[in-house]
Amino acid sequence: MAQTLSSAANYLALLFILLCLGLILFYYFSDATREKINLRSIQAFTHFRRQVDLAVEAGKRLHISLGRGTINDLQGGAALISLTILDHCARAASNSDRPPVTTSGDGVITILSQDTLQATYRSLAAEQRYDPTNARLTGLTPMAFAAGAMPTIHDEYVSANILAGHFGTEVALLTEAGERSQSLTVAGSDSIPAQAVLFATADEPLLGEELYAAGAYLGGGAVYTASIRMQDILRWVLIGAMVIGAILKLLGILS
Amino acid sequence: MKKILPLTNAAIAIVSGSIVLLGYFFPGLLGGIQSTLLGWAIILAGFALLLGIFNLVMVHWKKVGGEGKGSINSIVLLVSLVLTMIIVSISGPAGTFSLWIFNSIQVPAEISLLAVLAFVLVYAAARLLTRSPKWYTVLFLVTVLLILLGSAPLFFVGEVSLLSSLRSWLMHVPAVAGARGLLLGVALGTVATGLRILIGIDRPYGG
Amino acid sequence: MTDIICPLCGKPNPPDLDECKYCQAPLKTGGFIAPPEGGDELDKLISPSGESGEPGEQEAVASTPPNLEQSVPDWLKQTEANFLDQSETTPSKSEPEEPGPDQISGQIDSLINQPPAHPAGQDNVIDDDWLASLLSEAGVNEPAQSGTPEKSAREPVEEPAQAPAEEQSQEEFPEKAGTSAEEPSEEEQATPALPVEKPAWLTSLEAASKIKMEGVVPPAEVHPEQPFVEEAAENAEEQPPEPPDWLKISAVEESTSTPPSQEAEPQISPAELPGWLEALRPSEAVAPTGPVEDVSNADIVTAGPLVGLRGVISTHPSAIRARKPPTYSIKLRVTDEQKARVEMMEELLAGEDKPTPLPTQPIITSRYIFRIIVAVSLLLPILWMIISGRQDAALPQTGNIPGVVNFTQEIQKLPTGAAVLVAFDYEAGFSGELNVAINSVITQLMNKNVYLALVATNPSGPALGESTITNVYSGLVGNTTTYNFYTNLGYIPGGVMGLSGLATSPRSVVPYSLTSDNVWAGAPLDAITSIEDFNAVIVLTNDSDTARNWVEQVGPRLRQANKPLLFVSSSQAEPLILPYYQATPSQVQGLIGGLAGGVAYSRSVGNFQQNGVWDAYSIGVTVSILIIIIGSVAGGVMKSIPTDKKKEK
Repeated sequence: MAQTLSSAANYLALLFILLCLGLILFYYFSDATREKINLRSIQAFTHFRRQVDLAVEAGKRLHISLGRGTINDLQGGAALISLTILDHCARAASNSDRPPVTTSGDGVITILSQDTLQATYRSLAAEQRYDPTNARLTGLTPMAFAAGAMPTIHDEYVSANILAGHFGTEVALLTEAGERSQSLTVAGSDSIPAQAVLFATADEPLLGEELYAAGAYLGGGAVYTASIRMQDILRWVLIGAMVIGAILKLLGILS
Repeated sequence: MKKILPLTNAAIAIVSGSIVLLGYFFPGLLGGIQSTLLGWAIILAGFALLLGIFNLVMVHWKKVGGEGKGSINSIVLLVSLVLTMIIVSISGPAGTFSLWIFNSIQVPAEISLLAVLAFVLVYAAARLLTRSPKWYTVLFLVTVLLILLGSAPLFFVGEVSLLSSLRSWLMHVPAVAGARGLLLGVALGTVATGLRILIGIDRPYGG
Repeated sequence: MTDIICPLCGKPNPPDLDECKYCQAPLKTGGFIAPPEGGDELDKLISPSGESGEPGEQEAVASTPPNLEQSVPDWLKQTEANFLDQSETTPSKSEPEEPGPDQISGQIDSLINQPPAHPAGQDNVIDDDWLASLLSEAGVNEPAQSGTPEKSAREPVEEPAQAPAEEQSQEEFPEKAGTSAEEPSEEEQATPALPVEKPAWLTSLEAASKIKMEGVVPPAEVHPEQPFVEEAAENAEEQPPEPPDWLKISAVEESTSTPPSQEAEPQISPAELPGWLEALRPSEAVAPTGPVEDVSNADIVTAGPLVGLRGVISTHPSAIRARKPPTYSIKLRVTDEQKARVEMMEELLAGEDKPTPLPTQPIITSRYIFRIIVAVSLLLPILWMIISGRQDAALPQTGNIPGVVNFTQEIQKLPTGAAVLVAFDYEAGFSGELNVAINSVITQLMNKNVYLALVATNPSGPALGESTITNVYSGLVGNTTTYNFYTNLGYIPGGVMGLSGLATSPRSVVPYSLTSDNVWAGAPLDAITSIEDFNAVIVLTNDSDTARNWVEQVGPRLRQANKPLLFVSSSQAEPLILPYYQATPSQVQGLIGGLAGGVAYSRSVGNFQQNGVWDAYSIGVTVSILIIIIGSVAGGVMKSIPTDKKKEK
């Protein structure tokens, strides 16, 4: 019986994933001809774009912290989103006097951030600006990672910190460092305790799944917009399922 | 070559990801390949750790060569790294000297940072209303205060059972409900991110 | 009125003077005729005879025809006669091709100015022009030319009363050429040069002439000024093709034949040039052999350092002088708003000059002071409580904290000698919060003589486990004896994948202990093939994500085998683990959350040490609440008080 239930759950999960995939592909191709898709305003991304421009104008540096989530783990989604944000920042700040610097707390993410920076500069025909030491592993434990990233915020003429990825409560140390160095901090994490901390400490916190919308808000392309639309639809599906389940439970129909 | 390599990377990523994903649903058919690929991934993750440490050394070696104000700290870091590696190599990871380094340096340092974190959070909460005088900020602060009031007996006051009950209700109902909602959103985002990479449209691996 | 420019001082003199009234230099020999005042290039183009009344020049022109006529060979005279006859007899033939006199004039000008490399069909025009100029030099003038197409073409624009000399019509071509080269008219740009019909006699003449190959109108310079003859000769040195002999003779005669009035004038002796200037001069060894560029009708520079020179680019271009600059009103119509903006802009620009000091960041700010106050307010009471070791605050009750009782019962249910997997998955920084519970749990396990298998999914876990076992055992026995009934399996890389591998096949994921022993070969781990073979799994963590990984990857197998999954967590992870504990059926069978849970568990097992930690925690929470309330109220009040800046806004 348990085996049958497990198989049913497995097939349900597969069906859910296929539904997600179908929705992404549908919106990806159907929205390809649309000129513009309106997204609700998220203040953090508005300030983020402005701050990137200001950093380039002022000849200052952008600090992008990718967190300490490994790609093999549940935090892999946040880690990959942080790479997308890194790509955008590197492109936007490619003309800046000081190239952006990244910090991370995981070896795989460090290598991927180096790869992303190199690929971005290569696509801009500015590979000579790539410096592997601009993508840094600052520590392998959360506190060591935060302690290693704090000097980067303090000492490297950083005008804006973008903390995107998997962080714990140690992210408060980074936001505090940003406040002391009078640089803007835009931060988002997939961790619930970290989001609570960021609400109190960050200049522009990204709460919930806002972090995962970064690609669409930073002009990543149609596939990111299609992902957001898929998430919106499935969110309503889940809300409906929960409400119906609760009603059935109240009525005693569902055991 | 510059065009072939990204395509190869994308093909490897798509095939590997698909096998690992389908392996969860069809363990009998793809379970073996999935285990092999996961084993490779674990080995690569361990190797990436070594590469990350090498990157750390490179960054601080560069700082030592420069004239920045952090060069002394970088020297300390490099010397500490080398000494720790030598000691742990001789003494073993569970050796007496290794544990002495761990208990005497790393644990106090991390506890101190956590203590600093406590200061930071209290300071940030005290300034929150000044920074963002909104109604939901007030709600946030009231919730924080209620949780704190119920988490420990107040000095000179003692334990207030009503506050403890209120704390328990807040933690178990609204907080968990909100967290579940956030986690559902995060899960949807993670699924979307994974699928984008799986179908090769999003390639954060330099493809 | 035309003035004569003194060759020495460059000042204009009246034409009736023989000597310069400023420097007494002779004017007739070396003087230059200044262009008429107010006259522009357009006037010159339209009426080329405008300067024909100049006495000096008339003399020069009048002196040339006899010499030139003598120099013309007989065959050319015959050719000329044939040409004139033919042109007189066939005027109607050329009319359809040349629709108007203006166009003809333009065509002639454009043809003259064509570069040497041109289609063969256009060479005829060059021949005609060359011949025309030659004829004009030879003195075949008014009667014959009036009948030619060229002459008839110019009649509308020329004043008949002035009866232009051949020289003037000859000068007109290069001048127009020069003008058209600088500013090509729209007509010239739009329409290509039409080939002029070439008479048959000229076709035969073409083969005999080498000059036509140059594509340049051979100049027959008749200007009396010696320097220009020399200059022309020097320029001609650079022309490789040899002109015909008759032309050489003519040129020699020209140079020797000077009008009587000029012969009387003293020659200007050549100046002694300095060595460096001599070196700059072109070599005089090569005699002028080729045709020279005609600069006789070029502009004379009347101002600047090149005054008096002909054919050089003037510092005051005639094109600029020709136009009278349009006059615009300098009075602007400005609205009041624009005036206000201008004033604002002027103020801004004035402020740009003033150096503004950089905003200095004061070392001691209100934030800095507030930070110090927060730190001191928190530190001092906590230190006081720890140092004094007081126990005033009420200890938490076991029944009030969910999960502790069940945790205690699950530990008590473990049989002696059972194998328990303990995961040290917390950060070293959380040792202060978790050690109260962890020490009590490990003590309980040691007392029950449970075999401990330690693992970790974070890098610092193995060291934490090792030091915890050492510290707890030394606390139990009171000496430094090593506890042996355990194994440290070390760090599991790969996060959730490593954990998944541990759940299915622990032997393959962690085959050796930290001491490199194959612990799976000996008791009690030799009976363990998968994770559900352990009697219990205890996870020590501060991270809700790590807890979720264990629940999702390991929990199902343990539930199937009815083995407990127990958690010791920090306060921050407790709310997210608690639902797994409260679920039905529960996915977590026991939970100790935070310092309160640890104290409660320690009290329940009788392992609580009175060291002032709980009182320190209590007073820390109390002070934190006070700081937050005071800070929020103060911040709200500060925000509500209108400051000067707010008033300005």
